[in-house]
Amino acid sequence: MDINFHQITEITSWLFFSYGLFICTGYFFSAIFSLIELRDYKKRHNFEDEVALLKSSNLPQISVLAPAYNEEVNAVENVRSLLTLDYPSFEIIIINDGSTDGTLQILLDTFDMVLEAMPYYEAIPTKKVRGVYVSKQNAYKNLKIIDKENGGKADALNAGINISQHPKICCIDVDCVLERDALLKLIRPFLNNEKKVIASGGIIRIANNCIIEDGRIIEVKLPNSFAARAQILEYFRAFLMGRMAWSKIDGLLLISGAFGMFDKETVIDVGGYSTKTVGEDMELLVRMRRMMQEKNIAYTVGFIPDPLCWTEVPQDWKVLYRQRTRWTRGTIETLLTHKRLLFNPKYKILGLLSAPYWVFFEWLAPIIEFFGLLYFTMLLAMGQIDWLIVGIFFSLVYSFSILFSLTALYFEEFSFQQYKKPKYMLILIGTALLEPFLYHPFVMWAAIKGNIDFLRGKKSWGEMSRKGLTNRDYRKDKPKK
Amino acid sequence: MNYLFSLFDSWPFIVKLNLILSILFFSLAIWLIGSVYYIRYTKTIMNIKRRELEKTLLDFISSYLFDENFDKSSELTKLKKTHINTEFNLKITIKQLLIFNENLKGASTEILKELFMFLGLYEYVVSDLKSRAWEKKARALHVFSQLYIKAPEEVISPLINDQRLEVRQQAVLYILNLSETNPLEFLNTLQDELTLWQQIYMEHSLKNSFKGEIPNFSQWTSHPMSSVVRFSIRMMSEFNQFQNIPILMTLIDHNEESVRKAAIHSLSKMGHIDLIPKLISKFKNETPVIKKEILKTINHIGSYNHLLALEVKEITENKSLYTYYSSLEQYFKSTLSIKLNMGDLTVKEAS
Repeated sequence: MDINFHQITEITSWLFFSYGLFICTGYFFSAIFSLIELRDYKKRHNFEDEVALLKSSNLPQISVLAPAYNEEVNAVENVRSLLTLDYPSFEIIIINDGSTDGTLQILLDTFDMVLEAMPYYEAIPTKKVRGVYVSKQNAYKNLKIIDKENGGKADALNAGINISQHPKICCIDVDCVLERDALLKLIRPFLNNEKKVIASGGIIRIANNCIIEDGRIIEVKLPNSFAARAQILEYFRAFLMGRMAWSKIDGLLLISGAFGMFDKETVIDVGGYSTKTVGEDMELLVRMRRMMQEKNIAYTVGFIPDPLCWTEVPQDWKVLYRQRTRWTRGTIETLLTHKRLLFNPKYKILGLLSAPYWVFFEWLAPIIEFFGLLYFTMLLAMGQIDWLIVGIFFSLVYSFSILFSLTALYFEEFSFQQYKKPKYMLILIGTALLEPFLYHPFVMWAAIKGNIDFLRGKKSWGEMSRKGLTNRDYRKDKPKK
Repeated sequence: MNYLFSLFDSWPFIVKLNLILSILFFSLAIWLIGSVYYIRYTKTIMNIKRRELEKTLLDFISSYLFDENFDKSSELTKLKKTHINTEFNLKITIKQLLIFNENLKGASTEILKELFMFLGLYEYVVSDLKSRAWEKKARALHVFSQLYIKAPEEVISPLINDQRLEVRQQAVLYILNLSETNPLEFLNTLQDELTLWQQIYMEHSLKNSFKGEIPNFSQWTSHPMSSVVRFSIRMMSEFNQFQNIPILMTLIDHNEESVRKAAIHSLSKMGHIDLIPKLISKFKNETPVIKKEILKTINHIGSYNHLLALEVKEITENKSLYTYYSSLEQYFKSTLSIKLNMGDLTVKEAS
């Protein structure tokens, strides 16, 4: 069979086009499902009274677990913010994961903590716990600080799970700012469901440049840097469109490590967070879901679209690059660990939709895009480019890309409208128009580098330096003894 | 123009498709930008209107309630004519009445009900109740139950077993708030298990809204639905129904673990110390969940002696349980040492 060069390029072009069409169709359905779920959510929670919940002695008790590694800039402010959460019964456990700065000392001094000889069962093996501290002051009676040897975020969370007293655990990043009613809202799926709820997650919002007072968001502002603004759009797409849609069909595979609630018993049953991956948040949920399906127990995973958790995203391109390579490695590690799920009808939506989506849309998309660019360069070098056709292809990709971002913006405007000033919307629309040129190639390359790092066997997390969300430096006002 | 069409016709199908899709996507993108600003504009206008109406209603309702010189009849007619004329305004008015109702008690709430009727809101809410949209039904039930206004009985009854959980929940709250005799009679015809969420709201309603006599919860201890049995058990301790202790004692032998756990928890909460010897004898053959509940009960109403009476070898295999036992042991020992220092007699008893 004779196939000439022209036929090869045509077949290749069709393959790239089919993949693009497949992706676009997926995003189209995701948008539809998200819209339905958002509308339904708004209707469902139109007339609820939180007073009944706050007064109830029958709400499940929650242990809030916050691992801290070199967080001396933010730690005190964030713990104070956590202490004022609205919930009838909860404890806060800060896990100092072998910080090399003054994180532990500043917390011990500020909250008047003393070492407590407390027996606990190590249900999940962790690095050595040096001590558990409790406060001498009644005002902080629900605060515990665990000091342990450095073992990474997953290990720190496992130590927190071992020491936690309550049946539900809420894992957060210590630098996150939670809305006052965050726990009350995140517990909802656990209460209002006929099936066993193993986890619930919420939307993560970007706090860069927002005005924060006493650990609360006072005014939502847009970040000054383009990178952070592009991430706002990215988070809108991921949470308001992606996860809302997955939640609608109960196919969520990821609850953000920055803010998620879990049924402790189920977490312990599966052996806690895996310390062998940098994508421990996704891996845990996949393992929990897999176990429930294998045991044939009816279960579900909840998702709350209200803005409950605000976090600082990297504005520095280098830090962003490290974060994205790590996310890619985490995704690959999880997907390979659970490759049994892929197209396996035994796991229903998980095996037939969620896992293939993650493989084709999250893992392979940047690789295929990268090869697409290489292919284009090759055709260019061989003088096989028809610029009219390139222009039309490009306009299709670009128009779809901005359409997707604008749909996410529309969803935000329709649902929560957090960016109140009209000029913010204008800036975000501008960001959406520029993002495909200035931001997307960068994250695509970071994903490619993540794949390379994975193949090279890289395991580390990398430093994640933060500016801090508060202006006050608690290192300067340690109590005098 | 003809040149462009002939050029278009000469392209391969895939290129033509790409161009058409690009134009479609760009048009949609422009439409979305317009929609974003349209939503923002309409929301702003609606907020302005809402604030204006809320102010008018605030003044009107305050005067209607507290100003003796207020010409109720003519002002009411005027308000109905000028403001209570669109669905949006009706919703705002109902919301304002609910806010007033939440903050007022006694005769004032009766006047609010009267106002609700005079403004023609009853007919509007009843029409919502009969609507096919579940959110309208749920909202209508919420309004009636908050204002303690009775809705037609034949409309309410089927809603207890509605397909939507939200409607069922609001129907339950409506019945709890408005029934005069047995507010939980609907439990006998319940078709779906109660969620924890419903149970919390039912308890809240019984404690804060229901004005009649609290029923004896023992009537539901043999209900076919486990959630109803557990709810009844919990309510026995919440409402101090000590007369039901013998029934609760039988339930600690129930074949369902969750029911046994609830019964032990309630008896412990009621401080029924006679429960402990029975628990000690049951401990050996119980499940880990119940064993933990027994340990919690000893912590709550028992003593160190009770803890020592347990057969520890039964739990050494379960490390989680054994850790709990150890921490309890440590707690009792530390409590004893404090008491010993104070010369408390209970130490002798324990030793």
